[in-house]
Amino acid sequence: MAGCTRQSDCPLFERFIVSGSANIWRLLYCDKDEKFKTCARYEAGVNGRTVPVNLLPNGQLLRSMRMGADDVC
Amino acid sequence: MAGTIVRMMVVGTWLGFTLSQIGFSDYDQLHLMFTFQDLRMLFAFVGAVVIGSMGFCLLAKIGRRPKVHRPIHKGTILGGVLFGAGWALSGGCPAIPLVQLGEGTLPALVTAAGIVIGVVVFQWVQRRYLNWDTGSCLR
Amino acid sequence: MFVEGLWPWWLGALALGATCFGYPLLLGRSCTVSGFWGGVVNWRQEREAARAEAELAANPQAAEEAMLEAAMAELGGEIPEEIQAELEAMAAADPELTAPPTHAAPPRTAGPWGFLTFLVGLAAGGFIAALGRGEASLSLTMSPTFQAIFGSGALLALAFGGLLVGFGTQMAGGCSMGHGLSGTSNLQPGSLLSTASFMGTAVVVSMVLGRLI
Repeated sequence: MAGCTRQSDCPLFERFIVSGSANIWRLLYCDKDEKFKTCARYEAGVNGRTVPVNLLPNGQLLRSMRMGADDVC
Repeated sequence: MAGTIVRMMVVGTWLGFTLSQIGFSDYDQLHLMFTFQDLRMLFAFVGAVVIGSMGFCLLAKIGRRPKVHRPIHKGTILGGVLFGAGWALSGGCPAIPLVQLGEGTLPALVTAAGIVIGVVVFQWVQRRYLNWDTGSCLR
Repeated sequence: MFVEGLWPWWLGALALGATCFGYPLLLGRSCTVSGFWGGVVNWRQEREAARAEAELAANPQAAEEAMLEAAMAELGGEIPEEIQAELEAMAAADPELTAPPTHAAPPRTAGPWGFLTFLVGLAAGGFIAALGRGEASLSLTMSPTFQAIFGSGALLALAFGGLLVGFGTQMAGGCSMGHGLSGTSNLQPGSLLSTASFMGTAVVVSMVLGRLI
């Protein structure tokens, strides 16, 4: 399985593994050779920024208190 | 949240105490170790690695082994070289200047300030030029 | 080999070795000190991240729902057939991917205040140790060997050395605790290589500096 080098450490998968919805992101970003570099989590990490646990690969911040997600940077 | 803060205080204090009692905060001792004139602290460190790995094995047997994942990446060697040089110059891995401050050695303030500046400079270099995957998003 | 007031090597090995696996057990993350310096420098980001984690942890059910909703939105409202097929293939190939996690979710980050507390704790530990040895006193100089090597250039050496330590540990992604102790005892390749690099360099530089005495 090529793609993102950080998959085994990414908290996204440890937290949301039950519903399997995290795996959708895996298919869309992590497993794709060049696409994973556009993942917001990967980008934050290699730019020396903190990676919030609720940052989705498409740059949105997951908010559990209300429906939907906010946009970020 | 309070419980976490207490635990951070306890582990930090214990580590500071341990490092001071072994002698890692003493430049004289460190110099003797790095020039192989006195291997006491080296034996302590190697012994710690052995005991640590035994501990991890035991934890694995009861299914509670914490995950430690550190692959080789672009910054592994150069980062290590720069750190090692800094260690020989200032006498500290990142923990030491704080331990020294606790012991009363005021010049360690300068070392600590240097560390902060070094961190800031690296993060700037990362953003502007490198974008290396250094594994720093590990929580 | 024996130094007055300091621990014999085996006691140091026991204490440090216990810290090596005690640390992750108590704090829920792998050993680091350089990571905390980085976290303190990134104070605002770390605080935001800690808040986000607390929010998600407060209501895991809602978090799961929001996650699913976000994933669906990314796909345009519903899961296309080929993605559905791939998901099923994934689950079939590796049942662990969709099974409930066998270990608890990672404990929440301590946040920047927690990192700072740890750093302050290091100083407290040093104070207690020095007190116990009867050596706790304010001093404006470093140890004799250091002064002999650097003389009037002492502060410059400390500043520059500190800079290299801060820069290098961030670049390497760990320090003598994270890589040297924790990583090597787990036989992690990155840590073994990094530890060899920093130990080797420290030895060479120290030997060169030793000639300046």
